[in-house]
Amino acid sequence: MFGSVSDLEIEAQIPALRRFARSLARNRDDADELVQDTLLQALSRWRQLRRPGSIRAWLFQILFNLHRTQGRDRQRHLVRFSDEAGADHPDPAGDQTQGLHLSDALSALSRLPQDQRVALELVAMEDLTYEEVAKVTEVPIGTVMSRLSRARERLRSELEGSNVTRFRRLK
Amino acid sequence: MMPGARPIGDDDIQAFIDGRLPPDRQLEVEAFLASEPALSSRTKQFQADAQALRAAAQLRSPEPIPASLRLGEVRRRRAAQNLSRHGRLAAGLGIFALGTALGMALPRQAAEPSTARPQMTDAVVAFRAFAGPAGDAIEVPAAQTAMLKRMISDHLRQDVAIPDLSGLGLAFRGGRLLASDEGPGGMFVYDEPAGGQIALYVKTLASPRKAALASRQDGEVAAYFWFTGELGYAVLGSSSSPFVKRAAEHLSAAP
Repeated sequence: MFGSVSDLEIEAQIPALRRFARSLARNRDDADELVQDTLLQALSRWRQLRRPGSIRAWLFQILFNLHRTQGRDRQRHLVRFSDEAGADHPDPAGDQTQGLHLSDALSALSRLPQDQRVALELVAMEDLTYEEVAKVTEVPIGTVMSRLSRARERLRSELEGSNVTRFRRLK
Repeated sequence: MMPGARPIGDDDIQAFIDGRLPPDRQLEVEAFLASEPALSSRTKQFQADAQALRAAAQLRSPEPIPASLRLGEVRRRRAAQNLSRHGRLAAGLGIFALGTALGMALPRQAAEPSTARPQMTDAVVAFRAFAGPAGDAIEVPAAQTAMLKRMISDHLRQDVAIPDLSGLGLAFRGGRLLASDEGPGGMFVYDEPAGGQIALYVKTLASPRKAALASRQDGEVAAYFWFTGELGYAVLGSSSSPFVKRAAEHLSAAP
């Protein structure tokens, strides 16, 4: 019933789905459970998807919707993924972009309000179009754009704040 | 900036940062930023942040996919959970009539689109079952075209237009939703000037494919069909009607 091409196309998205789920659930097991539920729904609703180009956005939409309806957002008191990332994957020496540690970027990202963080992640990390983000998060595109704008400002000030702190510590 | 051009907005700046502006707008924004050094350097920082986030996505890429997330595993679980749900869904969609018709006409073939049987057999079956002077195909009359368009677009999960064929002398009469052998479908019925009917059948495709206009005769029914990748179409009518081919050529040539 589901062709092998479709399976491959879905499985190709699993790493991105897990990434997004981790950012929403902030707990490894919850995140993978969220991905599992997403795949389950995707298989049930496979026939609703008619545009191969949007498989990614379609899966993200299912996942985000499940996240919201299941109230999985355990927010700040749980382990932040960025902390996990720091422990699991220490920055290799080459991982600097214009002097910015990537783990700093992730940790600053995790401090953004969820709406802003989701918009920025989907655009900058997952390459969804603005229209797709609007669809996934079920808000008008204008809202996506303003969340994106606020997310960038906020991320910048988080980063500038943390740079200042580190600089002071070094002295 | 060119006089009279659309003023630069924050949405333009965001799209500029993401490199998603169309080329001409890109130039306009670049020109604008050249005159706004503070904003320009801020924008460069945002671009660097975006790059860092993109690179960080790799850091965040989790370890190998656990077995529980393999589709085979998910599917096994789903099969166990959903056995009963399918029956209810089918009933909810109101597909019993066509299901029965298909069941009688195509024993044990309805589940899979098969290359062994002629294409669009389901369309011919649906046409025989519903279209005709009795008007059984009409669930929603032409007076409620907007509603029908909404219903069918919801049903097929994409925009489906109800073509106006009055230029060919065909009057739209109404339509209905259907379930096909491959997924959700629908049928639109048009009256010929002399009183016969033709139908446009549309269905989603279980496996997307494209094919140019082809035709076949099935008894007294002529079917012209084509596939656009996401949807399959068929125009159906009496073998003796000149309108079937005319409508099919008109519709399949439309962009």
